[in-house]
Amino acid sequence: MNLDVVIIGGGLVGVASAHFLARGGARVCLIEKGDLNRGASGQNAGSLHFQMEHRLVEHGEAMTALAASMLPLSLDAIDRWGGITSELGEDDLDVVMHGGLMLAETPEQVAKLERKRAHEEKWGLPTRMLDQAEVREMAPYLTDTVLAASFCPVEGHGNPRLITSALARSALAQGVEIRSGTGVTAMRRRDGRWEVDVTGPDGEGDRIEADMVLNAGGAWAGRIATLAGLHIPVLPVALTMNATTPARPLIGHLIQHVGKRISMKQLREGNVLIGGGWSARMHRKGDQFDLSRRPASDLDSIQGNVTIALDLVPELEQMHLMRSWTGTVGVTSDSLPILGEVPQAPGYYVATGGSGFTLGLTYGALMAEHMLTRKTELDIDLFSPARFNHVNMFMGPK
Amino acid sequence: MTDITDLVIVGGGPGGQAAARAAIRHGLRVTVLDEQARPGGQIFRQPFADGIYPKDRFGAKHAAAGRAGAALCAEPLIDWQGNRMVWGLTPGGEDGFELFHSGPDGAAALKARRVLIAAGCHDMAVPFPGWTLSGVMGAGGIQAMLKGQGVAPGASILLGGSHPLMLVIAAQLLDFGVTPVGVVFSQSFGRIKEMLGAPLVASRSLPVFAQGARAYLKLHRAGVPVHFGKVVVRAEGDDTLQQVRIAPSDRLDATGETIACDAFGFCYGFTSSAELPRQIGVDPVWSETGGGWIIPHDARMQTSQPGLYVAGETAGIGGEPCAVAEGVLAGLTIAESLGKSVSETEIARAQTQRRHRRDFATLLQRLADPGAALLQGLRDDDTAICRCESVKTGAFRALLRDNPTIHSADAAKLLARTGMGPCQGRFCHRAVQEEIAAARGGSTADAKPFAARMPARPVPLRDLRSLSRDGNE
Ligand SMILES: Cc1cc2nc3c(=O)[nH]c(=O)nc-3n(C[C@H](O)[C@H](O)[C@H](O)COP(=O)(O)OP(=O)(O)OC[C@H]3O[C@@H](n4cnc5c(N)ncnc54)[C@H](O)[C@@H]3O)c2cc1C
Ligand SMILES: Cc1cc2nc3c(=O)[nH]c(=O)nc-3n(C[C@H](O)[C@H](O)[C@H](O)COP(=O)(O)OP(=O)(O)OC[C@H]3O[C@@H](n4cnc5c(N)ncnc54)[C@H](O)[C@@H]3O)c2cc1C
Repeated sequence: MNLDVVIIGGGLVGVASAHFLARGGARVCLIEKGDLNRGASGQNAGSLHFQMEHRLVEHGEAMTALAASMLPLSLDAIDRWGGITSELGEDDLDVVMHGGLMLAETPEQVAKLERKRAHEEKWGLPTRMLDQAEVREMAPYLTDTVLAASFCPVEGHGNPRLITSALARSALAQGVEIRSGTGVTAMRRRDGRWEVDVTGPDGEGDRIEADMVLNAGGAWAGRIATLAGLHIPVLPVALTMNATTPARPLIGHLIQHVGKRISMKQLREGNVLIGGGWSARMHRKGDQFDLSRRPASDLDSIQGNVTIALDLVPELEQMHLMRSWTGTVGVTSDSLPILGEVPQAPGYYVATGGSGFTLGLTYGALMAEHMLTRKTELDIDLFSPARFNHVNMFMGPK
Repeated sequence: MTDITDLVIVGGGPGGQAAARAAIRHGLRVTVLDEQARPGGQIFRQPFADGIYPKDRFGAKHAAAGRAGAALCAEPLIDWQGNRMVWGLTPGGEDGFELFHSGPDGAAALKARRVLIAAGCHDMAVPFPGWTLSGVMGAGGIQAMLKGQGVAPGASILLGGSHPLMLVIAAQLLDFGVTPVGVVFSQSFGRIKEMLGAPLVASRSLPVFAQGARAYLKLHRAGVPVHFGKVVVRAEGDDTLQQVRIAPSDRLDATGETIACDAFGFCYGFTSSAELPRQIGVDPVWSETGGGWIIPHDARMQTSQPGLYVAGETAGIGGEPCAVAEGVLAGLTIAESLGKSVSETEIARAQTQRRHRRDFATLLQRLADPGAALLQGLRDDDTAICRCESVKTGAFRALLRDNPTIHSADAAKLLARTGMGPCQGRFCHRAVQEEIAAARGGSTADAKPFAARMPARPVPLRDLRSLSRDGNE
């Protein structure tokens, strides 16, 4: 088959890209070294968070302003998540957009919330401030030390267990070839096309050719870039998640905090998911992080995370931790996503970045549009890998 | 925590106790953690309090084991901690481990230079139509109620499966004053006779044979019917069990015969408790008839994780004598690894002893094996494959059909929620793996185990907040 695109990585970003590329008429093959959706996309908290996160607003005004430039991506994501279930012809992908609260417990935190909200208002994200009484009325399950909150009515959660496989079913139906258990081991550019060497489930090698390559390798994106002789500054970061045993409906919103590391939501099955950026321990092998092994749990993180949750929702006192798990997310060196073609390697595209669950559909749709038409309605120049020209000018796929 | 114990043993059954005795004999300080209040494990489970039944109710050996357990607790080098459920195991810095456990008074952490997991096993879950009705349980669970609480789960109790332990439990019910309504073996009478009449030497190594033969006679005299070549294929009742349907083993669809009962215990074998070693990164191996995912070890009972040892059922189902032999061996080699002088002859003797016990255990496994085909034939599309999350077998099969990219238990779990409930896959993993193997070709082990994570069992959130680990930072 004469392929247009080889996608490397079977997480939400890779599979969403495959779906949108195929819908645009491209012939696509997707390569995943393990099972689909078993990287960060199947391990994350599932928050659909559109307000600017705690980690983005705590490093001063300049950083906050830069991070605010991602808000148009969030606006795009709101529409995509709202429509994805019917677009894929599915009955139920468990997309819940019942609103999200970002909490403040001190006057300084309230001020920070207001500064953050000003940015959001400028970019058109629907959020409003709630005072103490309004918070109590909307979310009586929260502790009364909450002084204020910013409320975004379209926040909520998606289901990381369901979305990627639904997209994969759609991609398969549109003729995408998906090869799981198949890792990319080498690649090169020859006669204006890309040659990608892969190793399949039984250890047999194969070579795939295509006009374009899309690196959607998540935490592995830096390593996959190395295979093409490039630098893509994506750093693997290990995070922890916690789930309680099922309980009666209690928490009716996505809960975040402007000054604390917490994200919390209750699933329809009754479990409360508690996360928010607590670390896990990556294994090391010599001078490298060993990404082939799941990061180890860190009890300090579990304790720290759970303690904040208990403080904010006292009724959790009655519940049990059922499971914790860890996952590895790729974080870019400047917190902005990397979306676009690498100038030094024609036909080589990268799609990766933080909040890749919330923004995964958007990343995939934008990349498909960009690769098929060479332009995008929504301006993504700011996110282009060209911002790393200062290192990649010495690099390349030869 | 300023204090670091030489050895922490998880499990105070025959394996853990044997290890503890060997270790203190060589001067180690040993802490034993068990979620039961008293030492004993499964086979010698003691009443949760004195006086709920006469001490010799379950025979002289059970009573003697109770006294021996109490004596062990009184040893100066032993710190027995009952009612402690161990839910976490992590590397604890240089040359050691940290364990986390919870009980009625909250959670605690413990540091140890060596850890032995002798956590035993539990009833192998076998999904069949109606198995989620209240009144249907593992036969071992029935025995645990008898020995631990002095109560029987019903007035008319039926046992069914392929394991000779059923005979022992049925006889114990008789002793207890509850006449079981019957025992149903999937094997033919000839096969069971072969098992119970196994050579004397085997019955000495595997008391369950000799015990089983005695129990069989006792049931016979009491007029308890023992059926052969039959299988309980369906449990029926509104909410609670009222009757079961049985069918010939070679014609599972001929379901005309019924037996009325208010409790049914299934007994097709056992599943090793191997979560804690797996949590810390030890890869298990699959044993089809010997416990499912079990923990591999070297000739000194050490796992791939230096300093972490296993003994008894955690290392593969072997029964009490095998657990004792492995416990002794582990206790000795651990003492030796901590610089105590243990003679190599003593270790070699323990290794030989262990090998013998394992050989016989393998024999029992073979005889008690119901055959994977029989077990898989029991479930239909409407049978719950995962009871925690109420996932039906048919829905699970459809999901595998619709998602051809799924090849592992973990990947299937993400979509189906099988293994996501409070038991974290302890009960459903075998059936889940079998279904994946049937859909994709390959063996039951190819689907790989569910990833084991902290906590091994649910822990109150407030225990996590209050757990203090001073000196850890
Ligand atoms: C614990 C945790 C919680 C999170 N919570 C949230 C949240 O609430 N909201 C949110 O928006 N985001 C969240 N995230 C971030 C989000 O999960 C990720 O940004 C997103 O899933 C990234 O998707 P991806 O497809 O880029 O990467 P992944 O899903 O990691 O996929 C990359 C794939 O590439 C494959 N691969 C790697 N190397 C090769 C190779 N050589 N050949 C072939 N394939 C290869 C990998 O096996 C993997 O499947 C969280 C992340 C974690 C870890
Ligand atoms: C329910 C049941 C009944 C049985 N009855 C008999 C019988 O009557 N006769 C017979 O010959 N064999 C019986 N067996 C087989 C039995 O496993 C062995 O005979 C023998 O008890 C094995 O010894 P062990 O030391 O390996 O494990 P066990 O005796 O099972 O001891 C393991 C101990 O570890 C504890 N434990 C496990 N996990 C944790 C944890 N996370 N935290 C704290 N403590 C933990 C358990 O409470 C248990 O006390 C039974 C098995 C089961 C499952």
